[in-house]
Amino acid sequence: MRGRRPTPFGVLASLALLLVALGLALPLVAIVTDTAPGRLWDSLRTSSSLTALGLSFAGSGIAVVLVVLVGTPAAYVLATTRFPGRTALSALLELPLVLPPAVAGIGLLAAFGPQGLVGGALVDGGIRLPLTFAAVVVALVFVAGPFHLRQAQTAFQALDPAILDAARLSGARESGVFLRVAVPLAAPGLGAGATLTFARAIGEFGATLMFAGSLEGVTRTASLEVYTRFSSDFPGALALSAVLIVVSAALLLIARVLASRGEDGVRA
Amino acid sequence: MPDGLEVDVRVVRGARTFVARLSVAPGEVALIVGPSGAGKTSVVRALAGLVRPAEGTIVCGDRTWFEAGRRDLRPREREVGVVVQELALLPHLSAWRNVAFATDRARRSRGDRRTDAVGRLDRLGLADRADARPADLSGGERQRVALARALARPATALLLDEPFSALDDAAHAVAAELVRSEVQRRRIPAVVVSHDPEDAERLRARTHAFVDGTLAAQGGAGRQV
Repeated sequence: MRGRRPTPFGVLASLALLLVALGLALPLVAIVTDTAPGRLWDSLRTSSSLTALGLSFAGSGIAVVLVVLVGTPAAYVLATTRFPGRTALSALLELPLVLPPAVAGIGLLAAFGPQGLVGGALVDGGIRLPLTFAAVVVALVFVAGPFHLRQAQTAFQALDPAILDAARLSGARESGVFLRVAVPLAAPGLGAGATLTFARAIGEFGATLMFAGSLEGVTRTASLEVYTRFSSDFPGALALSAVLIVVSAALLLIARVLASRGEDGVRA
Repeated sequence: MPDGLEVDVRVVRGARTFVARLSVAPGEVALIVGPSGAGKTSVVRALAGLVRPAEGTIVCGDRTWFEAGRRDLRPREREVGVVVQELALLPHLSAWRNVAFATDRARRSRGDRRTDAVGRLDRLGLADRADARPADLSGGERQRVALARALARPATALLLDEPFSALDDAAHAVAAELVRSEVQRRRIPAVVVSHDPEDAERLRARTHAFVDGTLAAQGGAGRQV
């Protein structure tokens, strides 16, 4: 390479990369540098911050468990069987990934609100979802679940069908093929999917605000707490944001490590 | 009462059609030879339930495995010991666990199942590789693990697609002798695909070959009943 001059395109593309890096990183760097360590500790010690973080982790944790328990077999069926409408269904399940959060919130209200599609029946049964912690979980499942579904579907599709057939020929029932062969082999991809779902759930804002509201101690998760504080207590909002950045970065790292392990493992 | 494996099927694979009529008595080995692409693997896959024949019947003992349009038992329900050409070992399990996967899981402790599986590997000279994962085994070792797994299944028939192709002469002789004695001891029919015509002698098998897409028995050499 030495002795060759960079091409004009190479220079332009490198500048573009620099711009992208600066543009994406600047707000994150600003949050971290604007937060004095002492100040960070003080704001985090306030009970509302801790409560909001607790709600975020509890809601996201419950959402991930539900998504993994129901979404994993669902993704397996999508990935391993052929049926009419499969492609359309697969696309429909990914739709929440790209929906504007406000639309997701309206959709949840239209479905589960008191006047909603099934909300009326729920109210008759004594269940009132909106403005409850359960509503937070429902919003998180709806918005973040597709991350696991998509990752799990990809992981199951990558399995060698001959190996699943060999398990059947060796006497395994379909449940055994799923639990003893498909799930262990797809485990890295499933772990990555669950981690991404958790990360997305921690960051959820719009659908939660519209469907579950922002009741302190009930539905006000960490990102809603940041929003509540930013007009009255900007440093406090910064401190909580810094915590969320660290959590998100850690989760993303875990997901990437798991996903790359999956790519190595399936070939073995 | 019908005995053994009675096959009369037409299998369509893409633009090609294979016809197989095969009658294999309990304790008998039917050897299918022929060049690659002749349809050997398609026939074995049809017998295993992995490929659905266009028409015909497959009956084993007193059970009908397949009858076009009326009955099609799942691969698991056919209760066969199978070696597929891809071997398809379970990559997340050690050699002995691959073998134990095919044995009856009920009423046996882990220790018993390990002892049984290692014993089965030992008969193929692989006892010292019992704890290795498939990725760490050589091609010939993998093939023998697949064979041990097929023989470990409590089966009403054996279907072995090229079970010896990666073995050296000594291991080949040992494996073939094990297959022959198991078939005779358990009095079950076996279908073995091979590119090596000498396997007929090793297995004391009747040879079948494809002529114009139709599988037919050749002569009456070395029939074992």
